[in-house]
Amino acid sequence: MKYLTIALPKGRLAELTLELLEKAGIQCKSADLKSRKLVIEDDENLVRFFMAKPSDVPVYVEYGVADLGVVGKDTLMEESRDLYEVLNLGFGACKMAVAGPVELMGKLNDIPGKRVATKYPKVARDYFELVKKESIEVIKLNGSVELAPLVGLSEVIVDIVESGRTLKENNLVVLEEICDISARLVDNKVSMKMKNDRIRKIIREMRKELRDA
Amino acid sequence: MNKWKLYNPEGMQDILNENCYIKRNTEEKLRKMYLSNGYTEIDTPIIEFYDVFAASGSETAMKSTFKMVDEKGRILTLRPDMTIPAARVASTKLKSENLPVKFFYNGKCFRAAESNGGRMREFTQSGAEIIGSPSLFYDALIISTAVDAIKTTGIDEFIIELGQVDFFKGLIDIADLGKEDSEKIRVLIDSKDFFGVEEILAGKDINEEVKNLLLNLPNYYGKKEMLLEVRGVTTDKRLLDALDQLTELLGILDDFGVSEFISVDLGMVKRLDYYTGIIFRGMTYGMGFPILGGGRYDSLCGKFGKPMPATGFSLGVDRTLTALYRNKGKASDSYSADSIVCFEENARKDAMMVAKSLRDQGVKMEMLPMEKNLEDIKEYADAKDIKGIIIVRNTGGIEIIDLEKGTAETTDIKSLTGGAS
Repeated sequence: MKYLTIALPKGRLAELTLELLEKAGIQCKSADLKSRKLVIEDDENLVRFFMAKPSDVPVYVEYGVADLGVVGKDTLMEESRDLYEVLNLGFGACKMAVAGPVELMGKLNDIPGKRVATKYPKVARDYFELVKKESIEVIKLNGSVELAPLVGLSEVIVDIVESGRTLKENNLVVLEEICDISARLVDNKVSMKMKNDRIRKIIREMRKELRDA
Repeated sequence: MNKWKLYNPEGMQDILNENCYIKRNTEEKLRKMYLSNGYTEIDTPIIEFYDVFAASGSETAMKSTFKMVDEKGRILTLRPDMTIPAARVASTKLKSENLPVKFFYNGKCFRAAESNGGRMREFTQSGAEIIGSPSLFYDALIISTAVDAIKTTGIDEFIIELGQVDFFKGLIDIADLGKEDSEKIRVLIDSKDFFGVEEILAGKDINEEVKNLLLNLPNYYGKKEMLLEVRGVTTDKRLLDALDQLTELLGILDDFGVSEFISVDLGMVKRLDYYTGIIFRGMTYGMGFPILGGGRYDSLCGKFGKPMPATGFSLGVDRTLTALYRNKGKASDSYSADSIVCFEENARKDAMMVAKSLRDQGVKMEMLPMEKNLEDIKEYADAKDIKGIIIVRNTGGIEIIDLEKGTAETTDIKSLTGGAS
């Protein structure tokens, strides 16, 4: 039998995923998780985990170096990789939204050629161009997107919103919700077929756990 | 102007020595396999008019191609696949031939927008087409040739997965969701996103049976039993026909003895482009992307003036060799010479004779003037994995060094060339 490789996004999602996997019958020594080791192998069950930057998980899975991966829907939307998206894990829940100064409430459509600052240029473009049928100027940022409308870099932002606290503290509000976001189990298209039995079993067990929870 | 002179453009690569040797050997083995199955070879131009690919209606072929403009202002395209040119040839050049014709080809294709996701922009496709018959027998035949093609490359653990375009098209027609939602559903099913399909279908007023089929489509993959199961939950004739056709195909493939490699995925709804019926793709370990793709394209030849049903496949040679290497390591047969003939200054002629006589016996010989000392030559031989050194002295004396056994013996030109001098 060959190794089954699972790519996990560093951080909180990884811990939640390992908990779920453990309940679904795939063990991972938690001591290893706390170490700085990037690749953790379980020789007995022939399962291998590795930790990657969250936005890179779809890349590892698309190339097939990981058979399975866990990744936020936001990253999946932005990367649009050729993958199977087989399970909604439910955790890491938040919303993708258009946000801006409170004065723009209800007036979003009135600003022509607006500038949109975001970490998600593709998501922003798809939403405004395909859904709202309007042209925008996308400004790609790498973090602290909320800053952009405050200092005049853009009129609005497209970003994920969890509690909305950062927005509130900066007098920004959600102007329009784009979609719900949560962690997804993704699967390489070839692995799904070549290692079908094992992967199906994992999906089945995880789904059962999620339903029971 | 000089900035890029040291580099390959993205997605292009030099294939050197051993890799090139293995690639050409594989292509030659494939060629023999096709010929032994009654396919004949075609070699079409790498550059075609853009109109050829635009006619196909394939979005890949139109959007992601390298284009040039000729001196008359016409758009030329580096071919993105071999099937469309094959259909053009069949429709325009072979009007009097007995149908079906069976082609095979091996050549380079180019796609401009494919360097992302590990796809090369220059890649070699080896494949076959059967043009001129709608019979299911030929779907089975082309699939069994595809199995042979993968086996020929040396890969023995693989799957050929079958889909049926009509099944999904039928479902979408009955559901009547409009173009936009239909495309969204296709993308979601293609990525086995149950959750997304459910979201779109929620609240839509469509037939319960069709709704359930669409919701479960990502899950419908397996073998005969799965087809039987799906047969039990539908009553629509078009869907039943598609299922029956797949079942019959599995029967023929059983007779061909290739069943162990075959499985079915009704949710295989990849950008369908010009495909019209049975479609398939081949997968193996060590490569996250399919290594082979194909299917029936009954409406393509008609775009070139002569409607003919057709089916075919192409194998990505470079991808296949990468997968092979990852699964099994380097191929064992040696790609460099067997021996080096080294010669002293005045022994050039003798050395040539020795080399020729051994070459005639099928030994691969390389020649090297004795300008370095023996240790350096041994090192050179070792680096190239060459097993023997023959030294031809000015005196006519010859030393044969066997690097594998570590032995050396002396002889003369007469005994080595069998008295030819």
